[in-house]
Amino acid sequence: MLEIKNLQAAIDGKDILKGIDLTLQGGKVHAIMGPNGSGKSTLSYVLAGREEYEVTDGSVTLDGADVLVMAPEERAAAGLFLAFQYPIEIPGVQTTTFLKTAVNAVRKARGETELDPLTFLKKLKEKAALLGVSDDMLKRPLNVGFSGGEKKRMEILQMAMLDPKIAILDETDSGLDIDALKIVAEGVNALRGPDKTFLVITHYQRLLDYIVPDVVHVLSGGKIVKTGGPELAKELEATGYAGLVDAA
Amino acid sequence: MNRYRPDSAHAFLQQPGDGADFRASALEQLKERGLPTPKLERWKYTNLLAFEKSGAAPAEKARFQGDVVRLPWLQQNSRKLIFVNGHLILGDAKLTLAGQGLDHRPDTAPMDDQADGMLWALNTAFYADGPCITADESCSGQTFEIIHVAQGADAPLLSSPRSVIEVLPNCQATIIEQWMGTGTGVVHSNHALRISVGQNAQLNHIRLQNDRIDRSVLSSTHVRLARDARYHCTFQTTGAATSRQEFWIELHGQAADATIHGAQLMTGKQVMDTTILIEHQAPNCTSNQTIRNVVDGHASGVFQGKVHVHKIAQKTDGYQLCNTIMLSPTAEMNTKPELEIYADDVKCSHGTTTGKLDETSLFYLQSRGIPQAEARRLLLMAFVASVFDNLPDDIQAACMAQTQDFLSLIKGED
Repeated sequence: MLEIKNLQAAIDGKDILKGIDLTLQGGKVHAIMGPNGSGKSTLSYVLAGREEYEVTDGSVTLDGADVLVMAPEERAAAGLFLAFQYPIEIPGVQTTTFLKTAVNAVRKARGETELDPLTFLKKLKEKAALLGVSDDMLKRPLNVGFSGGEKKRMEILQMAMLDPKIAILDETDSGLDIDALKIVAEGVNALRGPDKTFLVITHYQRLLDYIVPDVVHVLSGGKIVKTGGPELAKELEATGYAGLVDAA
Repeated sequence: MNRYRPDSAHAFLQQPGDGADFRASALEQLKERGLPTPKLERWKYTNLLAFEKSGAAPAEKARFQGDVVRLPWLQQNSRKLIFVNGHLILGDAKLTLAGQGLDHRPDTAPMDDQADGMLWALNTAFYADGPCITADESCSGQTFEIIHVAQGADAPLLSSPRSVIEVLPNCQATIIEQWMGTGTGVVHSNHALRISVGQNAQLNHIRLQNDRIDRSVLSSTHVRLARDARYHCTFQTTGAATSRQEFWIELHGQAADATIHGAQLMTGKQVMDTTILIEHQAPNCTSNQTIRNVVDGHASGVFQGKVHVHKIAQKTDGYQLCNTIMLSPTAEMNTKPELEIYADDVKCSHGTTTGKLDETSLFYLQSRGIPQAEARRLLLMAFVASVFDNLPDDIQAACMAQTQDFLSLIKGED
């Protein structure tokens, strides 16, 4: 269970998050929707531990452990995963090498034995096939020369390999055509289970047709202004954020 | 007091040469002009004070204290040469020693049309030996591995190997130079290398320098390329307190190509300097300089690369790129790209970047559970590896192992 209490954060002295309260129950899919500039990406970066953001108040705990004192890699080991809105290209680092390093680093930190090369490759091929990630992509440097859709699929593949408890998907639908969107959504849905929690951050309802949320939150002006069921997302699609933003 | 006065006598000059005329005249030049000082434009960032003040005496031939078979040879089928302090050591019979083609003829051609050719003159005054290789049809395609060992003794030594490499028309050869050090005691190396590549011939030149940290390794490389000739140099520098390598490359025949890819990896108080002058003296030639530096601690890196396009050299394609990653706030990097173009139909580009390791990339890797130190290592390996892309696998592996060793030493911001 991830508990966020009164989370406030700033970047370059500018307050972005102004007191977020959010409890993510195990096994559920939470969606966060909100207009541009409401703090959606800031929330995801703060949760993943990006240094540039300064947490000015509040707390975040994962199964009782203080997340905010952890380095990004410790958060990953604890079970947090952020699928980036704009995945980073890493020239010179072969995708397979990167995945093996990441998987084994996380396993080591979790007190599990590292995967031997054969077991690792078997697992990788299995998950890659589900997401339509080709062998060629795995041989290329991480994300270099990948299309937008390939990058997003690679994010979901990393998620599948790292087996997190809490997965945050930051605008995973941006830049995806409908076919790519379906593949990504299927990949996410395949991972759903009682011990997996998702926080799906999106601008549009469209993604939520494919990854159906249990709970929908509306983020505006750095605060959660409304929480409801899946119907809330549809409502927003019809009416826009204007009414809610005014109410906030 | 100005310690760089050109007339200051220093230890090297008190050594008698062997009396040969060419040595006497080199000594004469040295006495007149002294070693290069930071007052010279091309020596602004690297000073030879430690070298000059060490009082090193020309090294005599000495017995190699190591085991030649256990030296880090990279290829099984190469012809192997070992020089200890600039003297040929005939090693173990188990090694294929390239005795053939070795020559001790004095190499006396002057190099004084370069304003600061004093290191060449110093080498001329004192060299005893060095690889002298002629790649003809009988050994075309052959790899020559040359290990230069700087072996310390009680008193400071000056090692002055002189290499002469000639690749005859239509032939191809690979030279692998490794510079390493053994024993305590200072040995400064001052290498002079003359290369000529004949028409439609190719020389692949690999230089790995990993000498001990209390030494200087200086080298002057002069390359002359005939029509359609290719010179491909890849280097990696991780050793020595002061390292300076100069390349003077003349693209003398049409459609010749010179490519230099290299990495300088430094930490502590190391100084590493690569200074390149490429002269496009004929039409349709291409040149490419791609240099990557990693600078840690209080180290100081220098890259000076000049492309000089003569008036006749139309359709020149000259490329120059120098990227540097600084790992500490006290690190220093000086880059000076220069283009001097007299022809009017040429394509020349240069670029340099100097910055920190990309924070976003680092965060991305960390967010995947890779510990920060490991993430930095991965990114730096990738940064350096790109200059070794075109090398054969075994040599590439050696370069990466050397990079790995360097990365285990870096301190970063602490």
